[in-house]
Amino acid sequence: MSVHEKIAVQFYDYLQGDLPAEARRSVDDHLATCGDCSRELESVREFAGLLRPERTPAEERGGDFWLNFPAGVERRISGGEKKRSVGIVESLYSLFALNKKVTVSFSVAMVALFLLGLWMVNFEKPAEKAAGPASVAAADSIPVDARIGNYFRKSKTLLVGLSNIETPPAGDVSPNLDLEQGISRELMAESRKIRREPVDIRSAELIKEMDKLLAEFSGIPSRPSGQEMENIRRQIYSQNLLFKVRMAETSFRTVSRQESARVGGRTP
Amino acid sequence: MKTADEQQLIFRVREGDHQAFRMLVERYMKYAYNIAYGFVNDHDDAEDVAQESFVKVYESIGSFRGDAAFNTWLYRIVTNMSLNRLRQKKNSITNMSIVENAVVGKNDFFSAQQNMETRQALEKALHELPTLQRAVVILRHLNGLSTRQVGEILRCSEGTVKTHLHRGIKKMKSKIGFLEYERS
Repeated sequence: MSVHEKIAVQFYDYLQGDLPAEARRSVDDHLATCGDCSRELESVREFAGLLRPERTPAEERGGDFWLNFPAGVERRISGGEKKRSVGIVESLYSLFALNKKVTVSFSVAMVALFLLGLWMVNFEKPAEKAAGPASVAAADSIPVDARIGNYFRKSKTLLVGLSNIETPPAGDVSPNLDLEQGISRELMAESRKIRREPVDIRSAELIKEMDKLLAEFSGIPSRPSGQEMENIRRQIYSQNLLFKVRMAETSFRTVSRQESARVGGRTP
Repeated sequence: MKTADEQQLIFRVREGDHQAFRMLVERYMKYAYNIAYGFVNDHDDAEDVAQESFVKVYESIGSFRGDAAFNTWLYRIVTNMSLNRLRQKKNSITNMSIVENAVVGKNDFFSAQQNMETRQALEKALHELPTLQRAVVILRHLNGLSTRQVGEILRCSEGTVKTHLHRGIKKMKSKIGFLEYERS
């Protein structure tokens, strides 16, 4: 690139006043001695003025358009979710129709999930009985369950985020995890409050496992190395934390819906 | 909107808070629309692209890490979606038809005081630029984004942005000069 071209590529930023002082001085010094470049600068100034719009396209749309725009986005999202559900059903059907092995494996997996669910329900019941009438009454209260449900929901979001963070190649800048670490400290504070309430044994154990992971995660730098991130991810996978938290979140969502229905159905 | 407030809003969206998502849409919908229009030069297509971009944001918000500003990420999505739309249209109709359909009887980016021929020439020249040069002109000049932000959206250096802008403007000037010579 010639000296003139190196100066010319700065012209637009120069005209906008966006050049740093030193760069601006270089351009000024060159223009003082180069008539061709001075003429080129004027040509760019004129053309940029010609190209500039009087009204933006957004300004050309009426107020009603913008009032309805967010609803339009939401309709597309809802339509997409419905389409995704249909797609899953259709693809499962075709998968089972074609492949007996898949059918058998899927059936076995469903039975295993059913038994797991049964075990969780039975496992929780003794804990509730042992807690006593007062704490059962406390456990019956919606806020505590909602709090635990919220805790698991936020934990799930955080674990999904951490699992999906890409390790940058060596030499590249690591992602900044300030936000995630802030969230993990909030979760640790919330877990301390939850543990003062009557909580079923299974959830208490899961919260303890989360605390361990969150403490380790809060302790690493906000721009961790690839190895540090890998250690965190390994902990998530080896303890199957994401699956456990998802199951817990689902069960608390079900419990809170049942509670809401029960409370709503009570006669005064 | 302060960065910390926006981070909180994004976190709420990731948790499935629809109200927070609506606030983000309302905040950025016009900017997204203007960028989309710069590429597709059609109000219906711009609406389509802008709305689909927000759907993409909703679906991918979990993977947004906050390394760049949210609006940079959004504008990158809008730019890519706009370019995809142009590629789809290119397969069915010619570039010339896009410009003709866009210009005749419709509002456009350029000054209403300019004569029709100059406006047609400017739009034709813009749409005939190579993709990257066109993207830089649209983002930097027509939408007023900074060189740094354009570089982040297009994933190139600021030097590259300046070079493409310079070459894009130069090419447009020479095309318009040629078209005016043909007319005379």
